[in-house]
Amino acid sequence: MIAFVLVFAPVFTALFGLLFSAIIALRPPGLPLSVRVPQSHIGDPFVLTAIRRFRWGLVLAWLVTAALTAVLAFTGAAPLAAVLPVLLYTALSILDLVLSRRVIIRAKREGNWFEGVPVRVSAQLTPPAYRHPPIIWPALAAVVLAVAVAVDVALYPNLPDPIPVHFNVAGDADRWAAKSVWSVFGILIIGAAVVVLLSVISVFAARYAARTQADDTAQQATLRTQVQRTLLTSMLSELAFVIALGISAIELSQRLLPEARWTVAACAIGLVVLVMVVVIGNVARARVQLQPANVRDPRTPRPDAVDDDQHWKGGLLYVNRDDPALLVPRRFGLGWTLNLGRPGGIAITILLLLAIAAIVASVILLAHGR
Amino acid sequence: MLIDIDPDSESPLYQQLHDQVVEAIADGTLQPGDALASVRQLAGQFGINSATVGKGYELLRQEGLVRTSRRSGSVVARGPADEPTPGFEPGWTARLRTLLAEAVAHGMTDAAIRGTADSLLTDFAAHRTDPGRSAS
Repeated sequence: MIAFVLVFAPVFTALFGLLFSAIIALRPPGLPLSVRVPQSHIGDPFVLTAIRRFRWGLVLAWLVTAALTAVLAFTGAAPLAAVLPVLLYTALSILDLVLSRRVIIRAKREGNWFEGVPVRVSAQLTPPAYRHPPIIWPALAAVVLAVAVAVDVALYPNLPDPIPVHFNVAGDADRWAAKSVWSVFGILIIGAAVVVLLSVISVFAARYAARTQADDTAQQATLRTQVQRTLLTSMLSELAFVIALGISAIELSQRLLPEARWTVAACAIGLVVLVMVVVIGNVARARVQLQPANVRDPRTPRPDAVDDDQHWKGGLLYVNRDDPALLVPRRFGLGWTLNLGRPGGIAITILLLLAIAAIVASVILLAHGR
Repeated sequence: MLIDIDPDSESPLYQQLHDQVVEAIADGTLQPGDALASVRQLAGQFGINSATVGKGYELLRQEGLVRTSRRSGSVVARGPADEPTPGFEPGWTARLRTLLAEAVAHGMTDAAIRGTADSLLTDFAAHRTDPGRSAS
């Protein structure tokens, strides 16, 4: 158990840190660490220093996290040691971003980087055509879930009543429930819901229109939109399959090999590894595909983008009353973020936070209330 | 193709949108039948009000340069090779008169004015036959 925790949290946060660092290359060159800079300052020493500082900050945050993991694991707070370091690492990396980007913001203000620079707001009048996200992964997800359902249906008359529904980390059943459709098929129903949700989001992602960077040429803007669409749709639909596969494997191992103690944990670890492989693989591919969009060719000069830093709090949260859009493409990271300058954006954010709080609370209550 | 809007310009945003579409049709960057982004998509990309973009599209529709249908959205309705738009000339002549008067009042010679007009028209035509000649 201690060994598992000691490996899990540091490996997970290390991969998370690599991903965070890799995302920098997915961003347009005019937005280092989510700060808007003109083309003349993309390679500015302050920009390069800030990015270096950000990367070292991620390493430092990882060392702090790993130390905390070890302390928690050896003082016997093992379950906490698997979760707390991941949360701490997320918080530290956000802090790292906020602090590192200040270097660029200060240099930009003091050096008047945007003075006399022609700026434009650009958009694609003829956006790339919509293409359906690949159907193969959701279809395969449905197949593996259907296999697990079929096995459950076949075994249903012979399943014990009450049936074990929860296992501790050592693989022993520690909670039972009366045999019912929910207690037998529950995890598969949740899995199917996740697959449907991810597939629906991937359809949205196929229409993703990245905000055009004014310093991109038309071809670069098109490439940027296409790569981000492909990245989001293929990552989401592959995740749908991987999650269905992991959940079906857990369900089947529990039903077919109820005596084996390691199977559930092995499937869970396999699921986490596959999720990371899918995410990192897709980001790595997008990085390579995006390279031509990040070249600034003096033979095809473009104006600079408008400095819109005042709308991006900490480089992560978007607050703009004058922008009618509720969802806008993230400036740092993948996907969308809500416009907190609109009442709808604030309302949805509050609902999301409440939903997360409710899930966390019910997990804690379930863990302690049995 | 890209539309670049100058937020600091005196010319209103919808007018800048309109002017760039007209130029793109003249130089062949936009061809008859080319699909344009919807008003909502474009407003979302610019981060400006849909009404502003809608006004630019409405102007283009009134001039017969863009056509909007429920099925295919907004498409470019005509190009330089099509029959001249009926009833177009009188209004255009009036505006050109002001522009020419401006040039004359500022001391441009007739030859210089004709030369500028010629070189602009040559640019449009050259871009139509060889779109790679200048970046769009």
